[in-house]
Amino acid sequence: MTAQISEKLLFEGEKHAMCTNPLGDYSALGGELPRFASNCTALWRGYVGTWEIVNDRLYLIELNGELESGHDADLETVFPGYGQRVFAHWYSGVIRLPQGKMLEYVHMGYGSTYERDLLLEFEKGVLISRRVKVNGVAEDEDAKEGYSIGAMTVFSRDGREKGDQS
Amino acid sequence: MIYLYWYLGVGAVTLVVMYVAHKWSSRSESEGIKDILDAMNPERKKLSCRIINNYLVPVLAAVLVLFVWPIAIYMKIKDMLNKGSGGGYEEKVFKVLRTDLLDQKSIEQVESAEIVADPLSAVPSLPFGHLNKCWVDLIAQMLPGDELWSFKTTWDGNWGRKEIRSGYAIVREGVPDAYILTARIPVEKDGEE
Repeated sequence: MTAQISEKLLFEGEKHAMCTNPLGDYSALGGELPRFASNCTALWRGYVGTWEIVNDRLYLIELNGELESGHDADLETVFPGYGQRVFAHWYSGVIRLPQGKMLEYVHMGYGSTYERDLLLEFEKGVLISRRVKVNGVAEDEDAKEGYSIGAMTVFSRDGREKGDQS
Repeated sequence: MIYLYWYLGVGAVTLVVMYVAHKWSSRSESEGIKDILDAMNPERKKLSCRIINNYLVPVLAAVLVLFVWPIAIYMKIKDMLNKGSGGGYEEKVFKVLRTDLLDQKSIEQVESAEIVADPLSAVPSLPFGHLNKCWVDLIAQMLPGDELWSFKTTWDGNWGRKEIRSGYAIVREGVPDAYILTARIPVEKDGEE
């Protein structure tokens, strides 16, 4: 397992790293996703989505991934006829946006902790509340600011490891 | 006395076989498992833990195998039988229970309640929006006499994560059958966000 590349969220004029995968819920609720290829250990889900909150509604506005067939995947691939914007009405729950300096690096999933988490709660794709959770203050002044991952292994198309990358 | 030597001799052979088998199986163990264990328990990286895990525990295990090897053999056989029968972790499968049912609904009531609209037209104006096919597939399974019910439950799912799950289920002869989920919200543990 490796720390995972985050999703992206445009919210109130800023671009955030988003440590939640609403498209995973879409699949869990019965939505059909194509078979994405996992080309590196830091992206087991095989895609990166860019999300946006407009008038308190959560939208998926971009999707970049590669299918097992070798073809590139975008929003149109997953939601035919909705290649520009998809309302994430299926998502209910909390979205986590880590902020500040890193407190502890965990090389698994979205396990690393940061000084603060901005937590956005949604009900059926609509933002209903927000709060900030303070996790601590980084003692190291040189600690990394913002979400990052430590290392990953990239696979070649035939499945062999290409090697670690930091 | 000769029996004791024989007993310890068999114990020594058992120990060597088990050591070789362990080395063989751990060689193929994914590096990812080590990462997961390290992430779940950071104490593993401490010197004291490494001494206990890498030296103390193996030495004690070796002494135990040497003296009580019949138990070690019994445990190994039991472990192999468990693996052979697909034992170990069994993934739970979610089912709707009668106690989870809330209200009986008509198809029209559900479709009217679950229509999704969006001012930016980023969703089809259909019941359940982008998940409309799930609904169409569900009602296609309804037989005469079936009922449609809403449900909500807290599911103690896989990997110890609880979720609140809600949706609609077909109830056939009083028993919940096929269903669709409309929400699955993780229940946060105390102190966890």
